[in-house]
Amino acid sequence: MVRVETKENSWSFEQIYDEYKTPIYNYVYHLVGDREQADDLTQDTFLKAFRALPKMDANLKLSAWLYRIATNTAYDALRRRKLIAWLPWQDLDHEPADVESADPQEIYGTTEIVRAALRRMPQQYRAALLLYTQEGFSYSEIAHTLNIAESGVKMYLSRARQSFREHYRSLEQGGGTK
Amino acid sequence: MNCEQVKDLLSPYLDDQLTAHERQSVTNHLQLCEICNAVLVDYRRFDALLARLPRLSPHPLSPGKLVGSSASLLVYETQPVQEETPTARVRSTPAYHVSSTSKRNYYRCRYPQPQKKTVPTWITTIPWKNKRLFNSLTLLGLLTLGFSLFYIYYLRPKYHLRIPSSKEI
Ligand SMILES: [Zn+2]
Repeated sequence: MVRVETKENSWSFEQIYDEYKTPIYNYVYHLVGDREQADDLTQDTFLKAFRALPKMDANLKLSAWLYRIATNTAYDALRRRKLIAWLPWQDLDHEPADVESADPQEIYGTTEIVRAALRRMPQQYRAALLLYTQEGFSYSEIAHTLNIAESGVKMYLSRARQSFREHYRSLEQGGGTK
Repeated sequence: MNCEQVKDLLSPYLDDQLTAHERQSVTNHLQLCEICNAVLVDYRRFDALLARLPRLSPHPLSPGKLVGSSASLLVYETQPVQEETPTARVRSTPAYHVSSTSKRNYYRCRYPQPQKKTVPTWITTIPWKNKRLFNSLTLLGLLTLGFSLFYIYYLRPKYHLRIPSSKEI
């Protein structure tokens, strides 16, 4: 059995999977905006993590390392989706309901408005905001996860909050409050 | 400080990431400006909303979806799978299961034999059923075609890489 030794703990891969599969899934889901794809990408994340375990740096925080893999996996998928969307004959019916297609009239609860506002904001800011608010990461952990400087995190979070507020407000006025 | 300058400092102000001097300036501005105050109140509210966002559960790993995906490897690599799973159960979707032998370092997928001569199972799992792979292949084809045209109409004439016609000789 492969075990991972980190500063805090000694983990088996099954423990890691059980502990992190739901948070990673939710994180990836909010990045790509499609539940089915999030399922696949969560599996891909853990598969990559499992294969990279022997090379893992013991000084790295396990969660930062996992979220970094998850972020890169989700970004790759988004890049691929953009590339594929460029092809003229691709099957549009199966594209996830994204960004502009969300009808504010159908949005009724706060949770839905929050999710819709997340989907509408730029993806690089979204990751920082999710890591900060949902996962409780510090600025330095976000910097490690997203592979950017801490000053970058400050800027990302600032832009993220401005953008989120803009979209949330417009959704709220556009039909969220009935 | 004016609103425009404060706007970019409100987020780090909330997270206590400002220098003492910056912090003081923002505090002073907030005492006078209702607009920036409202923004800060919003930021606090949105942080709380995001933190409380209900967590969705991932769908359980379903064998029907694993054909050809790397997830099947994950099942194999992380979970001991039963040696023999009954295949007689009636399912609405094409059934198969992953079986592994721990001594041997590989896994194999088993497909129940169809009763009647219908479409063989392998046809339903080949690349053109896999949208992503199919799109990659079409893109590759497109690039090949593009380069061929580029070569024929641009590169070859430019560098005279052509066979002279009999009239020219
Ligand atoms: Zn102001």
